[in-house]
Amino acid sequence: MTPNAVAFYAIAVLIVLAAGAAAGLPSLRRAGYAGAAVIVLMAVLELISGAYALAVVQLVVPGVAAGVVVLVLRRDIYRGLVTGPVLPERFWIAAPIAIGTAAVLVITLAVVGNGWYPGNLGVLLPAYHNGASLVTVLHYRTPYALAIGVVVVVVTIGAALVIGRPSADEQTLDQMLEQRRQREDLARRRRQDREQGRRRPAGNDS
Amino acid sequence: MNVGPGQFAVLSAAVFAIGIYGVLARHHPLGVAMSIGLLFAAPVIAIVGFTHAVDGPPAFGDAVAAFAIVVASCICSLGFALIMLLWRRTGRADIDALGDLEG
Repeated sequence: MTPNAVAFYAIAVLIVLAAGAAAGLPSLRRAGYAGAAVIVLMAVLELISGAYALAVVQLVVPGVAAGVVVLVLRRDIYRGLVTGPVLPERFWIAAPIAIGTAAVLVITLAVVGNGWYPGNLGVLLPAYHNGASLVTVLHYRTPYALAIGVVVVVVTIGAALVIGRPSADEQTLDQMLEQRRQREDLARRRRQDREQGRRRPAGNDS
Repeated sequence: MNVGPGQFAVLSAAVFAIGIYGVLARHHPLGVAMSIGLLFAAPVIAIVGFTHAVDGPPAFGDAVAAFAIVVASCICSLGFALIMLLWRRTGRADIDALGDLEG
């Protein structure tokens, strides 16, 4: 389905703005919101292009992954990881490279327009061009891709759990740090009590 | 005014260039991971354009795009997990901390 031109250009501008915010905002929290906006806007772009099932995949898969990451980042141990603005420090190196890449790609593609494109994948691969839906194609035509996708997801979950699980030495270190923090807290309170006792006038002892 | 694969390709190129800027400019690993996510998102836009901006039912291209989305999400999730591990081990949120790793 050919998308509506006005809707396409509006969403394209929003996608570029959101992507720029995700890559350039100093605050990582706001950059994360901008990244989420890119995902949602891409899903909207797929909706207006007629890729309804793909829009659902676009929302669900990165959404679940981002949700898990946000939940983990809310733990106390990761508090310092996302706080505070972090300015892009290598602006003068990155900007010319990005502008050069954008100039080469965007100007080339904009100048040649649609003439360079030979046609639909379905035209090139007639066996896949018979009106089947995405679910049908995944189920019957490309089951290996679907199976590999499922395996990749399962392996990723397992690997993330293994990476994220605190190891034995980390648990020991955490216990030692907690005991040290308690000792320092107790020593500080004793020191404060002693100082208060010295400041108290002798006549007030009762 | 029609929207063809060329317009989608231009949008894809723009998002890709912004992702390159983020990867090169950011010093914080979470920012770099988000920018890598943009690099992965750009080809999906192009695939959607190639398969949907012309008439016809292009479910095969959708399957390719869906696979790309799943793989990109998995890679970014693993990247975030590694960044959290780096933070727990070193207490630093800096790409330069990766240079100190040994073994």
